[in-house]
Amino acid sequence: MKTNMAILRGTASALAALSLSGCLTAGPDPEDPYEDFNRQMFAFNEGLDQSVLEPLAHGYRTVTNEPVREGVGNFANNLNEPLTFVNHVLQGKLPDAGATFSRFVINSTVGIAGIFDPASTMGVQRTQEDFGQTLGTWGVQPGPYLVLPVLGPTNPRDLVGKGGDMALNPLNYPEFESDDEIRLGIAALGGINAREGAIEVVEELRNQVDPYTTVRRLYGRTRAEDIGIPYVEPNNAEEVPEDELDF
Amino acid sequence: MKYKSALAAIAMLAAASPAAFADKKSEAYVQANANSVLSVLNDKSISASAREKKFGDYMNQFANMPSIARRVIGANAQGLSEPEFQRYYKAFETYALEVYQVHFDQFRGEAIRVTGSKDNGAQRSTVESLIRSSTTGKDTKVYWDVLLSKDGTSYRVRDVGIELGGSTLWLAQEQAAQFINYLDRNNGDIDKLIGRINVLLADMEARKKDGRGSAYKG
Repeated sequence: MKTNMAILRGTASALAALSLSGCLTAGPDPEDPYEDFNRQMFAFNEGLDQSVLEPLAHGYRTVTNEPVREGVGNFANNLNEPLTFVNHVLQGKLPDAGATFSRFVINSTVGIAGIFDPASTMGVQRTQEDFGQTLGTWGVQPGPYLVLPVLGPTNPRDLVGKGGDMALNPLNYPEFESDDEIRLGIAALGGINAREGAIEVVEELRNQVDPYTTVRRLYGRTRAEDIGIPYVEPNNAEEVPEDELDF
Repeated sequence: MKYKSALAAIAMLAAASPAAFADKKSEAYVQANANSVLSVLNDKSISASAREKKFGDYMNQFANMPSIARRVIGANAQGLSEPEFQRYYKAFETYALEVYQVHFDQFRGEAIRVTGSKDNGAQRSTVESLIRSSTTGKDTKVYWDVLLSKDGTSYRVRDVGIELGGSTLWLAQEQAAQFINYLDRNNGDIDKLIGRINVLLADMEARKKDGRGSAYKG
């Protein structure tokens, strides 16, 4: 039964993504048709972050030093390498898939279960791919921008991608004693470590006139870059009004 | 006859595609003025407040700040009375200069190299340049959206685009997205926007005083 858990979670996530847009009422802004809903979720996530995650991240920073945090980050990244490998293969990037496979083998052995990153020292640099990116390279459009509780910024394509990631990650399948608890613990530690690394970035985002808009634009731009689609800013298409030329 | 037709065809093509030409005057304007602005940030012979003042003066010569202030609030600018605009402009200018200073600070001590330009019509061109980022140590592409005045005598920068990853972050355009959305969510109330800007300015000031540095890391 447990072997089917990852597939079930993935399917549930994909179904949620497909049905969600149908449950919401679209607004007038084509860039963000579910803005009202999204802003409510953004505020909810902000509250959750400020009351739980941010204090945890600061506490974690206090009780750990830089090498420990780097080791935890390396360990979490190493566990994602099989997923990156699968997505490289699905995107037909076989040399990258080979490099990712080498990284996983080197770091899991010489790097002691991925705590160290000797592969980067050897010149095999880390790449990161997920199934949302794979769908993007296959030409699947992102769909409307969404902010979901806990999950944060996403879109239907990337939400289906998250489901795909759970189902495609080979490390989700082996069964052993307390496997679900161990996976959950590793995910929680990786999450706190990542949140600690983002303390300054989140602070910068909060110091914007409209943090919601900044995050939305940043998400769209970053995902387009990850997929390899240049993010087109309409700056040059904009007509300059006559009065701007009076100086 | 064939020779004349060929000449006419070339002339027509040239007239139909003005975007294909570089604009050397805009390039020279950016080369000279951008380096002046960046050199101010590295001027250790003056105090921090004098440096900020000088940076602001240069930016006001280099860019049309009141015009940028109007543009970043979109159609909301049309409904503002002059006193309302002046109150908003005072807050905007201080805020924008602070944000630009932090973005440009990553190029402190470096000289820009103009690498080309593209005409976007008779009054506008995009100048491309490379600047070494002291943060990453790598060359960063910086684009300058330059306008030529109606009377053809002077130039002003309209927006600055910094390449991040594979995309370009246009600073004024980014501000416009936020300012316009903020106003839309607050019934176009300019005082709410001024209030929000002042909260951010107070935070910047507090950070400077207690040594935390800017929240805007560029």
